[in-house]
Amino acid sequence: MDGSMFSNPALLSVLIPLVLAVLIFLLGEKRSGLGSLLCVIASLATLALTVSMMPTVIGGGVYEVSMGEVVPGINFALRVDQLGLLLTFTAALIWVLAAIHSIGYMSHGHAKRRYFSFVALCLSWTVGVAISANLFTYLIFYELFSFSTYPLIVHEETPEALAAGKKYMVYILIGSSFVLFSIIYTYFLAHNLDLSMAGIPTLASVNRGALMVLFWGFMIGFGVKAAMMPLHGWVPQAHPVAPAPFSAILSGVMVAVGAFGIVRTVLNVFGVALVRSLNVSFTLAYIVSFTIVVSSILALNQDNLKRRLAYSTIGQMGYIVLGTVLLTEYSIAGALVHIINHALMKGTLFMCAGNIIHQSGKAKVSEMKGLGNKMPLTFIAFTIAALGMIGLPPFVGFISKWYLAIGALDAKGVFFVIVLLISSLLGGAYFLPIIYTAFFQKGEGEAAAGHGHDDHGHGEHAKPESIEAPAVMTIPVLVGALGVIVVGIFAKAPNFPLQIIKAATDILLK
Amino acid sequence: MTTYLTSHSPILMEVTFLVGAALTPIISLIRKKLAFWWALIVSTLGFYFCTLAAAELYKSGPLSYYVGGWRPPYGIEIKFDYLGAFAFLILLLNIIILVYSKKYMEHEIREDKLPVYYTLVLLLVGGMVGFTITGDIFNMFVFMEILSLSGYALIAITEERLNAMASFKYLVMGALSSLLLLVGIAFIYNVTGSLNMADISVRLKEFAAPTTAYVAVAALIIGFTVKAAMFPVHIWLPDAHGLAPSPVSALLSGLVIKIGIIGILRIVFSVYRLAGPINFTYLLDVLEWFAVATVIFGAFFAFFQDDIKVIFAYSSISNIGYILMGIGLVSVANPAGSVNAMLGALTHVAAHAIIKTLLFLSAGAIIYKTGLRKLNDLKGIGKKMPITCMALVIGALSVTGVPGTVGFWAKWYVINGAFESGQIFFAIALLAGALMVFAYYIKIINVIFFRIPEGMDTKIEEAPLSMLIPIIVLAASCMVYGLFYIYPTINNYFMPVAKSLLGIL
Repeated sequence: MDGSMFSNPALLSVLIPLVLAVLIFLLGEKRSGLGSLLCVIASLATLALTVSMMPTVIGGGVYEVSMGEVVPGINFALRVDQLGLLLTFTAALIWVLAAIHSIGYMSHGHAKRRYFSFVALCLSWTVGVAISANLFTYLIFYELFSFSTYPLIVHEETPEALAAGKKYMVYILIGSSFVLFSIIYTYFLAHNLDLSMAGIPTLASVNRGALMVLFWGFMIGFGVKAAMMPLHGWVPQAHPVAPAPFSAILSGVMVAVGAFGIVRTVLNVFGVALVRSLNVSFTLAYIVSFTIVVSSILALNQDNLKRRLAYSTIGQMGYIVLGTVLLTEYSIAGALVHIINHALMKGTLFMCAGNIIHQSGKAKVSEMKGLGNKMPLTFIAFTIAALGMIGLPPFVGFISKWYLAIGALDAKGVFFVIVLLISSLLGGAYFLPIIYTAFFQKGEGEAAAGHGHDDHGHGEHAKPESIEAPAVMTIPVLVGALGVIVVGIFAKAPNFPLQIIKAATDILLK
Repeated sequence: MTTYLTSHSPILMEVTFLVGAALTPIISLIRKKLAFWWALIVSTLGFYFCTLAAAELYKSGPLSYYVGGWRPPYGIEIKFDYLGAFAFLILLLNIIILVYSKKYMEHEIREDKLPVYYTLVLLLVGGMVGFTITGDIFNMFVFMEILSLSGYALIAITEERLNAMASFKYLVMGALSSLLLLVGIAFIYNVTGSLNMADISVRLKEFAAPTTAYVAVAALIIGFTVKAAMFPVHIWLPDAHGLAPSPVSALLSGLVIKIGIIGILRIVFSVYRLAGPINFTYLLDVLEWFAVATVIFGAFFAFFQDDIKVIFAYSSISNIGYILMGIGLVSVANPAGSVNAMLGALTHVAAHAIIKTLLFLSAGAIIYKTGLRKLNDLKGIGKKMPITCMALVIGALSVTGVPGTVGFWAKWYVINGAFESGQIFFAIALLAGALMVFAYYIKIINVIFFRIPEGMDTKIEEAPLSMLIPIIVLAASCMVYGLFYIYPTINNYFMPVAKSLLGIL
């Protein structure tokens, strides 16, 4: 550990949020206003570091730092590769928006010190997960992340929140046990835990039975966090009870960290060639297809907006896993780009839901009649993100689906293209009614008022009283919505996600 | 001077404590509260001698000291070898616990009992150190008696009715175990005519596995498993560790039950030796299954407890299961392939000592401030005593083996050991046990941090610094030592212990 190590951007992007999290905690409850600013600064710093690392990493390079041996042959080490950079960038982006949004959302909340310090802490762990150089380091950050989200999920301290927290813990701990088992088993089989683009070479000589145990161990372990059915139970309960900006993080990034685990397992632990030879792609793809369709159907039934969004997340994670296991260039690109695309869309949607709850107190879709006219900016952002989710061009969702569909066709999986189409239709079926209700149905109060003045037609002209959220909450959702458009249109521009992914797939499939 | 002290450091370590204990009542004739300072001086001096011995161990290998100059096998040999260096940890934790106990014990017992308390603590620690570094099996028995008797007395020192009963239960089980130990030692003496460990292990080779030697090893191991609180002979532990004053619980749960483990290691691996006349395969297989039962039942019974200290006591049982599992997984046919399992057991002896001390001390701080120990009464205590409760959470995460904490390594190495010996079932059982342990620690975390306080005194604040600093030091070492310093320690300390025990050094 020498001094120059601390100027390494890889280490800094983990350390800065960590140090600031401790600082926020030490500042105390009375100065939590300053704490919330530090939280934003931590996110911005990480974003800036990520952007500064982009040129090198897109050019095929990596940033590495090692902090010494912890297990024979295994270092505690970080390495920013293309996949890691993608998740770090996604996380930093969503964190910036969510941290700013939190300032408004939490303005009347309690235990702000705890909230903001844990939000910053979670960023540190997420970046750590993204840029771990080996499975051991990965495991440490992954577990720290799992535990650090708990205080944020139960933040409201209501009985529902505590019940959701308990369910979350049970699911995550069982998942973690599978992950731990699999990682130790990998170590035993391969004596190597390195996450390199070629996979762990020594695994190739292991017998098929052991590899199958290992593969499914990882899939179950990470599948819990990635909300793969039937391991998704905690998601619809935990996402709605968390404070909305943190729901945005949970749904946008945290669940994607689970999916990212599957990406790492398939691409970096086993490697494309070994997974192909195991012949498990289609089995997993069918399970995931089931997840995608069923979760969308379940989403239709939810009246609680955040629950509906949570079910949508379960389906969207399916896209990432589906694209990864189909193992073609385009499907992998679609899966990876969906990590950032989904985070942008779902982050925006959850923050919009936060604005709605915060300003109107309404959590149910059926109560949102006419709200669109009262909170126009929030609902415009909501509409853009929702259209993106359905997969309309030119929004980001379209890019993901386009790549996934081409990838599925390359893998001779027409079935999966149909699944994607059905999912889009169902997405339309559960998102469009929200937009319709908000913009085109009259609220109960207005309807009664309008009825009284029916003969004069004043009801239509009377301007609805605006209850739009303050700027600190509307700007993040508008920026998110802008991202949904811009990243969609300029997907292939320099330094945009598809370029990072191109760099990754070039190395992976070389 | 230093070389003189170094060469005599093994005996000085013990004598300091035994003489110190004897002098405590006299010193406290001046003033009762002086007993604490005296005990602290004695402990620091003992620790100093131990550092001298440890430095010598690393410079020129194990130290042998012949008491009174009588050479073994006739005289008593004290051997500060790699396993004996656990005395270092015992003495270090003892100082931390002692600092903590000043305020706590003034609050817990009458002032005229304080000298008794410190006398007993010095005897207990002296007994543990003596047991750990002796090279003579009868001497081992004597020290075991010293530490057990002071342990019984320390539990009953509060003069509560329940404590007396807990102490009596411990006494009955402890007496049974002592009897077995004595029988075992007598049989060994009968077979070999010697009491010196090194000598016995040489002489045993001349006998072609006699029945007496088998009976002896069975008696000794059962005797030690009672002290280590293996299921189903654990029944004395929950009451004893749960009801004792918190610093005593920390000593008992952190260190004293490990003495049973060290006893097993000494008997199986340095007296009989794996390569010796007795085939340990069967015994170690049986031990594995008892270890699984200990892990699972220890965790299971904790579910139904309401008293926070009794929960910690049950979790000690579960953790002893991990250690026994590591020992049980050692393969007699291929000791070189069992290094990982052995490392898992050894690291956890140290790790659990640190963690359980932390847990009992932080629970003690809560009890000291609130007088409450039932989980249901402690709702929202985390808002009143944030530092203590954060430390408690770190302890809880460590004891459940969260990666990055000191408690994780037992899982890592023992599960690796289970894979190496092809026993995937034991790996799964260990993980399942850890999950169960998690379940009730999550409950504790939930209660202390996320429940609304009900009817608790609003003026409660953090414990005094002399109690808080030991807690912070222990919590920090769980995290920092757990991730960054354990590997050097494993390489430089645990690895030589494991290899010397397995006979592959």
